[in-house]
Amino acid sequence: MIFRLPLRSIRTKFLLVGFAAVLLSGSVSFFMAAEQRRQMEDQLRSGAVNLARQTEFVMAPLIAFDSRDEMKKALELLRTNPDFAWARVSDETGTPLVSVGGAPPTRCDGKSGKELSDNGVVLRVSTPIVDGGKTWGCLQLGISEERSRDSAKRLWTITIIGALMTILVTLACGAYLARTIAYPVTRLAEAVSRIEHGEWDTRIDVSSGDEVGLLARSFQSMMQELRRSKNYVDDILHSMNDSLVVVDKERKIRTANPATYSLLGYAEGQLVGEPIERITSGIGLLDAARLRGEESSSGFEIEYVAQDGLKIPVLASVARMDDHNDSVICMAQDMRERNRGERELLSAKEAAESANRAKSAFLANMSHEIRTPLNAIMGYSQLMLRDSNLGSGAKENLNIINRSGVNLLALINDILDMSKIEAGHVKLNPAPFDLLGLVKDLEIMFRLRAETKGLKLEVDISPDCKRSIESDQGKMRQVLVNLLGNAVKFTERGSITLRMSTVQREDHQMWLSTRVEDTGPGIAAEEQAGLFRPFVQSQSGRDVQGGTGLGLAISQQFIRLMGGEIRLASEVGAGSTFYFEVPVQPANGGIVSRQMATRRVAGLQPTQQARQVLVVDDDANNRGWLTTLLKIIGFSVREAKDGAEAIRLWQEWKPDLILMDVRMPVMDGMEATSRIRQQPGGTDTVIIALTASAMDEERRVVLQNGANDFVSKPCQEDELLQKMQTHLNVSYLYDDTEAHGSDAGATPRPELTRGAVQELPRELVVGLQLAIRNGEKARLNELIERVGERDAKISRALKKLADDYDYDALTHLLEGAPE
Amino acid sequence: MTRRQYIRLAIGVLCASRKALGKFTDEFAVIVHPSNRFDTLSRSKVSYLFLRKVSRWPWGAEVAPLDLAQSEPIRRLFVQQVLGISEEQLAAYWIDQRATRGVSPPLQGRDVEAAKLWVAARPGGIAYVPSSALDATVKILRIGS
Repeated sequence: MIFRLPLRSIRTKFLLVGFAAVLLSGSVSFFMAAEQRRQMEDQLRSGAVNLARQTEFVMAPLIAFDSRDEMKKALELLRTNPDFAWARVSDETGTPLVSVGGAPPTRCDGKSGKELSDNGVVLRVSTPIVDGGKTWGCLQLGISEERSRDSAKRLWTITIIGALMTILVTLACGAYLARTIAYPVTRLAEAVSRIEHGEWDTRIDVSSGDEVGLLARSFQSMMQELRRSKNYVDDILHSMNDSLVVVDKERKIRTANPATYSLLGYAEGQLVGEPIERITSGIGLLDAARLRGEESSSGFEIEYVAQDGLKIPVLASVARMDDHNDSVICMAQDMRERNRGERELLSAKEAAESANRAKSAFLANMSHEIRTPLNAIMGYSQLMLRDSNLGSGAKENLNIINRSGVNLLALINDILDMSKIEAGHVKLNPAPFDLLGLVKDLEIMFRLRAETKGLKLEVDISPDCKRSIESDQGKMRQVLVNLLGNAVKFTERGSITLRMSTVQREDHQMWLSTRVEDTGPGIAAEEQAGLFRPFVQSQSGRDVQGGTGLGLAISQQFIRLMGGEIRLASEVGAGSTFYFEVPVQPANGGIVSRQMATRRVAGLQPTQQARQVLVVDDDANNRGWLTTLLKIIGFSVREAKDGAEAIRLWQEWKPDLILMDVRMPVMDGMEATSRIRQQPGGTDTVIIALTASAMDEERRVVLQNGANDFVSKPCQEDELLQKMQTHLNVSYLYDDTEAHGSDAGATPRPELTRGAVQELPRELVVGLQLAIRNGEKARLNELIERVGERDAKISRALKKLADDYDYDALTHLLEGAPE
Repeated sequence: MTRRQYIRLAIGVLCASRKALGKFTDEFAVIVHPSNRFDTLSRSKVSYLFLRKVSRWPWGAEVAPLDLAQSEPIRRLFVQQVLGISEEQLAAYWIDQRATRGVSPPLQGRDVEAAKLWVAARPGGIAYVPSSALDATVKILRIGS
């Protein structure tokens, strides 16, 4: 590579300065010499004129008397002047009179001039000889210039020698300066120029100790530092897997890292200086980013074009560089692998989702298919229980059938719940509810079961436990049923205890704390871990037959959904305690009325006007048991086997209420519902949908289509009748004497009136009130026993209320007592 | 004063005096040796002789001027009319001449008779006497223009 020195290099400048100095000194010397010579000539001339004047003064009388000897003598006297060459005196006519020193034959004309003679150049002056107003003649003088010429020559010689010496000294100085300053500086400049052209290995060999040497050494170390930092940056650029391109404001590529070259298939260095458009057309985005003045932006999906024209999708991010070039760094990641991965992932996801949809559809269908016959089984078994002609053995068998149906339904629900949990479809539906009422229901539900196994069921509600809270009642119930059910199932001796309390923590969050303790066989430590996983059963769970192994898994998921965690403390042979805490909200509004699930409806109140109910179901069995049940209760019932028939019957009969099955041939229940709703007077009729689907989705659709409510199939008699009561605003007569249904352990409440309580002794009533207010269950029980000594019926009734934790009712009764 | 200045002064004096001079009187006459070849000389040439600017006559005889004493009445006229300068200027001229050229002023005759004798005795002699005292021993040199 040629490193050409710039025209104005330091050496050139030195030379120019030297040359100027030489020129100046030469010309000054020359002019000085010329001036000197001119002055010499002037001096010579004026000297000659003076000489002539002096002589002239003497010469006038001599000419007057023509005394030539005297004249000659006088002229001879002039020879004492060293420059004298010749002299001549002429008379006034110009005729020469006397001359000395070989005067040339020039006329005396009063002019001066120069002549070349044997003695060299002679200056000639002539002057008229005037005295007493008369011109006597003319004097001519020749003055040799040789002497002054000699001195002028000497001066010239000295000047030339001086000039030559000046030149020599200047050149020497120039050479010295060039060697000591310009040369090292030039070397430095060349080295810098090489480095600039990328020859990073250039060494600077300047070893002088002056400032230039210092500069060179500093530069050397600076360069090493620079090289190190460049190497560092190069290492980074080389080790990057993503492409990095620096684009200047002319949109030319300034830098591209090796990954860029290998990605696009160019030879190393080939892209530098190329316009960015050569590798991508998506650079407009970068420009836009620059225009927006953003420091950096990322996540552009653009395409790079390889040398062979292949388009490579990249994920680009740009950042502005803080340099004067307004450069932009563009980093790009090859998206091909990722896109491929994403596509695979996407297809896998789609496959999984479709499989899951298939599973959900299968489950929904299956549950529907199972529920429909189950509906008939349970319906008729419930219906048959109403037959008073049946013997107790047959009733027991019917109960077993009914209970099995309920268990089967629970099993299906469990499986469905689990699949919904796995699909993430389960959501909390928090609402205010009566916590103590729930506990009471559970106690009723499990007491009989426990007692038949010889177990003691204890319920310990802390006195300050909030009576009503806001939470998901259904799920809470399901969890507690599961835990209590497990406890009853696995415990052979001893007791089962349900403890419950609400605690206000520091953060003002209320927590519901619940423990279910049993004295069962306990669970081995190694089995505890897997206990909450679906379809995992403990050894004892396998020993005791039955169960899906889903109960705890579902419960755990529900509690987690509520923000808690079911934990287990257990030792083999020492019983188990399942406990959890969930955050709850204290309920502000009124307490939702408890379901009157435990009382069996005997019929409509006699004062009630007859209500018309249309039963729509394609399954004749289902229609049959519903019709029978409702007719027993006292409703006027007609049947339709599909939606179309239902609409026709509705038009002609105008029933008060329609029980509408959803899935039917010809016209399904949803369409029939929405058609009825569109007709005049269509909103007067209450429509309760009957659906065998356990999917919340379908229930929501049913309500959206205009149904007032829905009842899941298989229909539970009390649920159905209760909903009919709500919507039709009818009142029933209850049959209090006989238990029914699966949880037949519920004891009917004895009749209790204020009047009876008012007859109790005052101290007993106050004691009871205090015990209730302080929540002292034991004391309450003790007082109730004492009541029993006086009146067994009242005692039984109070006991029932106390056991049901119906403190409200108790308080109400006792308040009525006399002061 | 330098020599050159004196010279200029003298020249100036001569030029000025001539103008002031006007015409010559007949009260004195310039006398020379009877052998003298000149009959008439210009006034300036006469003054060259008396001021000793010329030392020899053209034929080689030495110019021997003789002045009169200052007490003689015609001396004043001569100096004024022929030399064209004042007595003081004349005195200064001679001091200068003596100093620069080593030339002394002419001797002074005791009286008019002495002057006639001086001229008669020397071929190059020249003097001046009153017109009344002229005789044959000397030749009158007329002053021309």
